[in-house]
Amino acid sequence: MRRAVTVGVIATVMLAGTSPAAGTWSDSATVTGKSVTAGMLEAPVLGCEPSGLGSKVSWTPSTVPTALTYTAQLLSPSSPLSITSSSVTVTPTLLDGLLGGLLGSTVTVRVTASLPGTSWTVSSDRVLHYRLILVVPTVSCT
Amino acid sequence: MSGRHAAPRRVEPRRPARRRAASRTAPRPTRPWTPVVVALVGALGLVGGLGTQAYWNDVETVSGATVTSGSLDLLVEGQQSYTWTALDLANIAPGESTAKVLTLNNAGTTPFTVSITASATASDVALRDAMRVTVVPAGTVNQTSAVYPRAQSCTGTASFGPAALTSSATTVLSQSVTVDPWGSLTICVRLQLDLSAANETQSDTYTPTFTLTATQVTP
Repeated sequence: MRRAVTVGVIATVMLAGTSPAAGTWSDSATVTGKSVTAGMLEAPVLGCEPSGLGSKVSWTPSTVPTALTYTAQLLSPSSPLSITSSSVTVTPTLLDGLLGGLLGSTVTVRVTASLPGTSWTVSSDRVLHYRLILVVPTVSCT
Repeated sequence: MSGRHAAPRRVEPRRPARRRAASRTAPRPTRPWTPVVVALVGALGLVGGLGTQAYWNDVETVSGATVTSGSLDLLVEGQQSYTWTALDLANIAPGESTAKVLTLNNAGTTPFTVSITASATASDVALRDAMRVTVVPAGTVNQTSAVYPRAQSCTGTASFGPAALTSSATTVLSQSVTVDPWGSLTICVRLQLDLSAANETQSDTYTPTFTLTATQVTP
């Protein structure tokens, strides 16, 4: 007798638990957001001009989305360059110390722009030539 | 033979006196056809009874009013499927955020509760992981800066976030708010590109998708 009552109670509870869900209306809608595109920093456009026996690499600072910060370096061998008024000057004296007077070489100047406070950066490269011109060691743009 | 002849007397067999005295008051003995008579009377009675069922009667039909079921209809900005073009920030950069309000309408006749799940896709998973999403029911937009870093936020208590969405549906609003028929509910959503967004997230695209489900309020 007790078993039958228990079974009946369980069945009743199960029915009571399922019946409201089975009769509940529902509807749905979908919202698709427009694609959000992340920004992109402007890569510095590097200009080059003779500066004595060396070459001067310069660029116009970007202010998008805000004023970017710039660093410059020589690659292979890696060496930081000092920036003055959005430009760096690479002289034979500098390269002689780095390359040991290895004329006929090329060097790459890399300028990197960074968005302050973030990991975003963008870089541009400029290749310079270190050679003898009229028997004088010279760094030229071409 | 003499002329006086006595009429022949009917001679009846003598019965015991006691028996004769009792016959004066007792009913006559039942005859065999008595049950037949009773049956006939009964039959007539039944026939008479049947006759009463032929009395006049009438039947009227009552037609009830047409019962029309209600409806449950969820619309977003008046549409079933909506492209949320307003939720955008051109060239979003790390640290910047945008917030917009979405309006849900109960266009049916039944109160319902709303739940929302969300997922996101991106051209680079790094951008998806760096985009922080906040959902605030009944929230409003508060713009704190219109220039870099552009910033908007949602006022109110968030039901989700700030956190990144994945490619799988994540519940960003459970069924906690009831919307009455012809009522509406606003949902404020904020997207913020985290300051730590990786360098490769530049120029990538990010698309969130929200699925809203209205469930009838159980009477």
